[in-house]
Amino acid sequence: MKPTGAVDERITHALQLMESVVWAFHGTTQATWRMGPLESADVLVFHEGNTDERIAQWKSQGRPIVEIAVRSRLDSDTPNLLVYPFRAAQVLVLLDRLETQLTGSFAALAPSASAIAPDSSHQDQWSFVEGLRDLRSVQNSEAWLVGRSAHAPVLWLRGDAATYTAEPVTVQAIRRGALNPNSLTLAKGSAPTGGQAPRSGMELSWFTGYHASDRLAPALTLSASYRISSWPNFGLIRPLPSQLRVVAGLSSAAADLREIIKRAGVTAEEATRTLNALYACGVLVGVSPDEAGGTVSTNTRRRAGLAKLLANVRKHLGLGTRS
Amino acid sequence: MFTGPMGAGKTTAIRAISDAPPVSTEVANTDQATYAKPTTTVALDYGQLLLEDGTAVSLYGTPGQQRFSFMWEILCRGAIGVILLLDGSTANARQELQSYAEAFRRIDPGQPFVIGIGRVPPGDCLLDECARALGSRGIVAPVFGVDVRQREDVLLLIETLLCVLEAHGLEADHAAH
Repeated sequence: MKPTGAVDERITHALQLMESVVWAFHGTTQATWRMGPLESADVLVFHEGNTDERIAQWKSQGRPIVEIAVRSRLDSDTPNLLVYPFRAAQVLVLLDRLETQLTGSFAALAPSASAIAPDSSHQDQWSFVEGLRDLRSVQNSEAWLVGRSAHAPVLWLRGDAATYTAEPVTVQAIRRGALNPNSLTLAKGSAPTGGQAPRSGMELSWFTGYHASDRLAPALTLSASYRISSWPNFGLIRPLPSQLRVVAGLSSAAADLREIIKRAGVTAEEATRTLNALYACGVLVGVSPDEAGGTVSTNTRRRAGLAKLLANVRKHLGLGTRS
Repeated sequence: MFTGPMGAGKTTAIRAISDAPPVSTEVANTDQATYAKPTTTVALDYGQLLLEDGTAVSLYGTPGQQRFSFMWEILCRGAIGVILLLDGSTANARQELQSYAEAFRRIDPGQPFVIGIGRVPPGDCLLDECARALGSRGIVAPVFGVDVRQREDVLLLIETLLCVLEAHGLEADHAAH
């Protein structure tokens, strides 16, 4: 639903961006999407501030909507909110989520950041991770969200997901995967007042992504190739050797899941969970088949020599013993 | 090879893992304005890993002062990999990262390097900023917050370097002598 009168220029740009991204993703999403008239639409896309009465009517029928905003918001009643300037990848995830919704698989629907597990009966294993990703894209560092478990606050998350604060026991539970973050009720609140030092949001993203599932995140696919755009801070994360090998491989050349398993010599579950963690951290980048592959040497004699040397160094220093 | 500005912990890191007592060219630090510590390295630090099969892996530390930067190239050529150490509590850590990364990319564009940043205040976004800054230059290098006084942190940097080397499939004959 395009604006009919004079509106903020950013709204016009935002709607144009949405249209361009839908066009660019044509043929790459689960369903084939195109922009069209309201009469034949499955999903209504409109901008905030649009008071057209057909929007309320559409909403009342429970039909899917996408609302485009030009300012950061943390309200809880907008399921599919895109805040301009949004990334193409956000639209891609949103389109696949809408496809799931339209085909009736509501149970698998990942809510947006604004609806992080508000209702325990609709918990989804990826909702917290997707929420963190959305918060990072919104970049609202002024706001704080408070995560409550059984009405007691256990976690304070800055609005841009760059830092969080929790008691040491909660941090350890998050790192071990003993705390289900989707069970937390997140709501806007005040900044933490306790003496706990702020911790990196990357840590929260890594561990909640890693423990979310032993299957690939909904936004990832088996056949796609991925690389990393930057390394997570492993000084904080303290990775397992297998995780380190997966990430090092993806820093060198793009690969799909099968190739990652082969290259890094890890189990399918370890590779999958590490990919999920990288996705949660927002450092995983999908690449086209043309870009995949890369720089790995084919000189087997030299590679064998290198492997022997590195194995000896590892043995000498006692490295790589955790798996 | 361990490199980085004065006070970043290169000598400490080599001491943490060297089998033989490291050879160090430490002299009294006359540049207290840059970094207040009693001594500093002026030529190089040298340590060794003596492997079971008789191979000696050399560990070099470069002098931190810019005026000795000619040493970087001498030491860097032939090195199997570089570990760059920075002090995150200094105001110019970001510029130093950029300066060192560009220098080593110029010396050997294919050489793997790992970056360890110490003394990063809790909640500080320095690491993310550094990783992003490198990414914008097309450099996907590990940037970790570390304390090189802890041996396990030095080992993490080395393990990461080994994994990157494996992933890059670099030539083994650079590695040992």
